[in-house]
Amino acid sequence: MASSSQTTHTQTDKNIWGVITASSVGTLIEWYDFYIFGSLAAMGIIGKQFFPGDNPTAAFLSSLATFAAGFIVRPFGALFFGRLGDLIGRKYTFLVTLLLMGGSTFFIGLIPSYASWGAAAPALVLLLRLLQGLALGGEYGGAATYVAEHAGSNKRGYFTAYIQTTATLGLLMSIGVIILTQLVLRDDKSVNPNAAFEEWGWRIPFLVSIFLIVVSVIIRMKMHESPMFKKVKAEGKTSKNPLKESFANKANLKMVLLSLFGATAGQGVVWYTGQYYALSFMNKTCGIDSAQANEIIMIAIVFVTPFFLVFGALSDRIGRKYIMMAGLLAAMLAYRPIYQKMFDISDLKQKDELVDQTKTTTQAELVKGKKDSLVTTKITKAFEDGTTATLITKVTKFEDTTKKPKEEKSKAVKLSGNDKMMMTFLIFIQIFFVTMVYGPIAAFLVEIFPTKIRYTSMSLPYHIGNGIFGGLTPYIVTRVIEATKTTENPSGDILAGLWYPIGIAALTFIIGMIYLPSRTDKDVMD
Amino acid sequence: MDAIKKILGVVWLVLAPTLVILMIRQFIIEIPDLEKAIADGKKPASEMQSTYIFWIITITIFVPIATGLGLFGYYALQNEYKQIATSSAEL
Repeated sequence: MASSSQTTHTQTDKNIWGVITASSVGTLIEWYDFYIFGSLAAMGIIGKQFFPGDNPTAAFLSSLATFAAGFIVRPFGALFFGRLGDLIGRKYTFLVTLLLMGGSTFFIGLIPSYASWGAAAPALVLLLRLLQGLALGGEYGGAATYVAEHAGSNKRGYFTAYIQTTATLGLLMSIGVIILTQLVLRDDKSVNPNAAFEEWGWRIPFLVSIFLIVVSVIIRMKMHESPMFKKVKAEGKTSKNPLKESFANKANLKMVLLSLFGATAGQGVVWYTGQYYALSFMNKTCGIDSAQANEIIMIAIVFVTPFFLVFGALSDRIGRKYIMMAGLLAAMLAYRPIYQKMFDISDLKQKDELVDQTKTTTQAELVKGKKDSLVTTKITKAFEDGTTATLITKVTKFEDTTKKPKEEKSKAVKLSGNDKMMMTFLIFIQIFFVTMVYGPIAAFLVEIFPTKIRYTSMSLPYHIGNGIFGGLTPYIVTRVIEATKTTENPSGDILAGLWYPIGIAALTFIIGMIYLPSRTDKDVMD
Repeated sequence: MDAIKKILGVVWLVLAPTLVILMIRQFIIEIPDLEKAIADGKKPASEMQSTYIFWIITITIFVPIATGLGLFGYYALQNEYKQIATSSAEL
């Protein structure tokens, strides 16, 4: 008997690892596809290519609006594909989402810039971005449900935590591919070493996606349908109308609302503040060199990712609720001191400059295909603590002398030694909070809803929480900071925007602590 | 704890429309200020478009979410969260 039981156990473990691998690889690639756009938007490249404007902030906001559009449609994708997943099954539904995501990503890489195609270019980008959002809305709930329905109740948090790592690893992968492409195309002799990447190299990460999708589709084609869904289907108990059963049934709607306001809303803002806004803050507010900012995020992610599994496994022992709530509380208390420290360590005014090492170079050229002239002035400064800064001013003088010359300024600060380590640590802490709130949440959502409407019911609060509350974080935070800018204080209050994630996290914390049960239904067989 | 759940239900019920009203109020305040700043040359004209986009997106998205928060408050006030379902059979 012991031998038979051991064999069955080994087979089950073997099956679950196959299920986790097949689900995670596909979900990881979907996140990668989704985040390439956001990472390039945070670096200002999407804005320059598709949303030109005299005001760089307007271009940045426009690109974030497109970024946000990708998030806003996620709940609709959750409803559409969730319904499909509850009607025809998990396996085929997330094969469709994978193909939709891969196709959209590939085509974004092919769209000519605004300079070549005019308004058609950003319109097409927006359309493809919306398709990406729809696909992502259908993917995650399916993958989490699929893994959870294969896992035993004592390891559900641990096994689904592998799916939870994919969003962060997808971000890591997108940044990694961007850095690699930048390194390959870098020309240190040029005034702007990243000129080739900014001109055309940014398309490569989008185009690479097609190969990843082919591999993932092959893996997923070999997967079997979830045993619980097969059982429900064989018994003729599948839902006739998952949307109606999920949201018109008061008992279920109550749980959908509780999941949203007591868990996923706060989780969404913590995720996007810790990873996405942190990158945007380093690039835009601190002026850190984009390659170094990406490197810092990557190092922090590598070290913190195992904690998704730690907190997923811990939630199997002590419950999901208190781990998630502790993560929310820590985030809302720590954000303002963390971001103040991030700003201080990159603030050149607080550093001692080595004046004798300052170098200035000026280059004048004609703008390609026009008679306008472009004068680029590059000032390189060094500081006592090893920090270097490159300040670039580009002045375009137009052929039409009645037009006012256009001036663009950019700054690239490179931290060294302790400051770089401290910045990495500050990002690490923020993503550590993410692992606390995000690690156990898939198991938590799966356990709240029944099999026949699980895909639909759990996908909606997840994607409203992540897509809307979370995805709009960089957009809202930037907007709030803009609103604080005055003539007397042109930089505005750089920390004012943090009240948005802090407020949402506080609301979720209060609702979660008071209304969420500490124990949810461990039986997901019904 | 049940009493706190019910009392806070009123808070969520009041908070939901308050948030929507505050958003609309901020939108109404911001536009004339911005028009003046653009007329004075303190801000570029493109700022008007981004401001409209921001507020239209934000209000459109958050009105249904605020309605959900209000409904959550209403259920809490009705003591619907006194006993949370611990099995799917109860749903």
